[in-house]
This record gives sequence, C-alpha cells and structure tokens, in this order.
Amino acid sequence: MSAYRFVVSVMPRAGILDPQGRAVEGGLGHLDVSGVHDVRVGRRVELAVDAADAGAARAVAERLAAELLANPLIEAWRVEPLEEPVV
Amino acid sequence: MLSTEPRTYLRRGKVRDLYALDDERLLLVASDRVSAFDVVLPTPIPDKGAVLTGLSRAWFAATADIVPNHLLGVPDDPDVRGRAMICRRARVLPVEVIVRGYLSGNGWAAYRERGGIAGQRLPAGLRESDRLPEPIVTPSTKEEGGRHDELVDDATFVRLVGSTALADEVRAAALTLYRFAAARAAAAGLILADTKFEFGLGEPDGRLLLVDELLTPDSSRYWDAAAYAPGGPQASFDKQYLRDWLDASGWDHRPPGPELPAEVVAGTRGRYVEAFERLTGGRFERYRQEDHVGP
Repeated sequence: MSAYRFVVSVMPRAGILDPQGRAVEGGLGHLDVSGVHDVRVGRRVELAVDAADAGAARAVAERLAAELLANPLIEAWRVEPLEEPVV
Repeated sequence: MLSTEPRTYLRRGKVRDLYALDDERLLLVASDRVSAFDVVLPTPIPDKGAVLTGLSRAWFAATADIVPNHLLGVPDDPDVRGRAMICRRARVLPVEVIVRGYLSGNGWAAYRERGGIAGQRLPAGLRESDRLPEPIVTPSTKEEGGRHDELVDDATFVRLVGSTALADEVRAAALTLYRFAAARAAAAGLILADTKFEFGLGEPDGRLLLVDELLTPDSSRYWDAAAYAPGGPQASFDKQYLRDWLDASGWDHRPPGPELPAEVVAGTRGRYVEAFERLTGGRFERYRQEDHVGP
C-alpha cells in the first residue's frame, strides 16, 4: 500500500452563471485593470489515498469527486495526480 | 433563442417556457408576456420575466431552510439574462397547493355557496377579502387547456399526493412557507392574500422539494396593505391598473386581447418593479446590471 496524492478541481459547469466570477470581474475596475474577462471561480481539493496501485487510488479519488466534492448538476470536476502540495 | 447549452423544448405556458437541458435538469424561462382575465395579451411588459424570476430566486434563497427547492443556478446566456432558472428535475405532485390567509377568488365563491372551502368549515359572517382566522391549505387540481383549477377535498388531495404522510408533510410545509412569506410581505407593506405552491419529489432520494416559481405576483395575490378594505374585492397590486384600463377600453375579455398603449405598459412595468423592490429590499436595476438580489 502506498499513499497517492491527487488534486481535484471543481468548477461551475459551462453555461451556468458564476456569481463569484462576476464579482471578481466587477472588482477589476477598482484596480484599474483592463483586458481581463471570462473569470470563473472554483475549488481545489488536495487529498491522499492509500491504495495498492495508482489505478485503484484514482478510482477512489474520482468517486469522491463525483459524489461528495462536486454537485454534478452544476459543477464539472477533474482529478489529477498531485506532485507537490501547493503549500 | 438560447445560445449556450443544447436544450429540448418541452412546454410553452401562458407566460413561461420550459426546456429540458438533460435527464436531470430543466430550464425555466419567464417571458415578458402578461395575461389578464385568462387571456395572454399581445403587448409584452418589459422586464416582467426578470422581475418574476428575481423574486422567485430571492424567495427560494430565503426559504431554503424551511423546504429545499429545485433551483440549481441560472444560465450564463445573454438572451435570457435575469429571467431563467436551471432547476433540478423532480417528480411533480399533480396538485396545486394553494394557501389562503384571506377570503378571495375561488375561496370566496366556495364560502358564499357552502360556508366553507372544500370541506373545511369556516366561521359564519366573513366578508369578501376578510382575513381568515388561520391560514388554510386548499389544494386544487392542475387543469390544462384553460380550464379552471378545481378545489379538491382532503381525500382527493391524499390520493393525488400518494399518501397521508406525504399530504401532511406538504400541508405543514405550505403553511410554514405561507406564514413566513406573509410576514415578510407585511413588513414591506403588502398583504399576501393567497399563493400557489408546487411540490415534487427529488431523484433519487424522493425527498420533498419546492418546484416551479415561488411567491411571484403571477402565482400569488398581493394587495397593498395601505389600501386594504375588506367587504369587497381588493386591487391586485401588480395587475389592477392593467385590468382597469382593459375594462375601460370595452374589451370583452375574449382573445385576442388589445394592444397596450405605451403608458399602460410603463405603468404596469412600474407596478412589477415596485413589487420586486418592496419584497426583496433591493433595487431592480441592480438585479438587471449585476444579478444581485437583496439590499
């Protein structure tokens, strides 16, 4: 058994209004920034899974993503191996 | 037409259009069409769709702790900006759950004939538009093709909903929602005389969900509290101006309705915007520009 590290990215699905993204775009004027658009805000989840191999570990991570971390009705998710944690 | 997600057109109602986005989600789009005396008028009221959608969204947010609801989000599509909701599909219960706090419309007609409404007794001596001693749930059928909804008795309600337990749950939820909304409306100088809720069972867990629109002027009777005078019919906060003009015009209430002059359109739009601002506590322009609901 080894610990396999993954990062799960959860973003609003295409076509759904993202109020947080809009809020960020609205704040750009205060910083006198132009040329920034299509802002979308999501979540990043880092986790470690103990499993016999990478395939089994990924299956666990994907199940977590689909059933717990994201609401598939309004969010899209992606699982990738995590080489180094951000912090 | 919608420029983003592919969708299947399901149904065109009098003033709203329903689309399927996929197996799990619907798109409910409110048009600017207005109906009066059961006839859809040829002249739309600008922003009516956004007003009603904004109100539904605000009410869904405010009542989420009382009953969960079917609202998932709104589409990022300029064609339907502010007037569309992405909703979770549910198995809709085939009954209009009407709650009345005041005696009006069908309820007043039933009381005049029988002294009660659909088997629920009421005290004698009530006048039209009187406040009822307690709000009551008076379910009715959902009729298609312009036929009027029929009040049903308790046994039929239980049969339509499927079980006594579910009927009790629906009734309790509806009363709690009505009391909450009536108090909010009163604080805004409006009387919520009655309203129509629709419920569904969510997939896959079958839990009770509030569906359709919520506490909009189309699904509810809102009266101006300052002008309230029981003993006769009350003015509809949003539609009386329009109804009075239509009657003065001599129209016989049969389709097609007349085109509306600009000042009637503007006046009616003003009533909708005022209802939005009173009930949400926020400016309608801010909803239109920033999609922000609330103060």
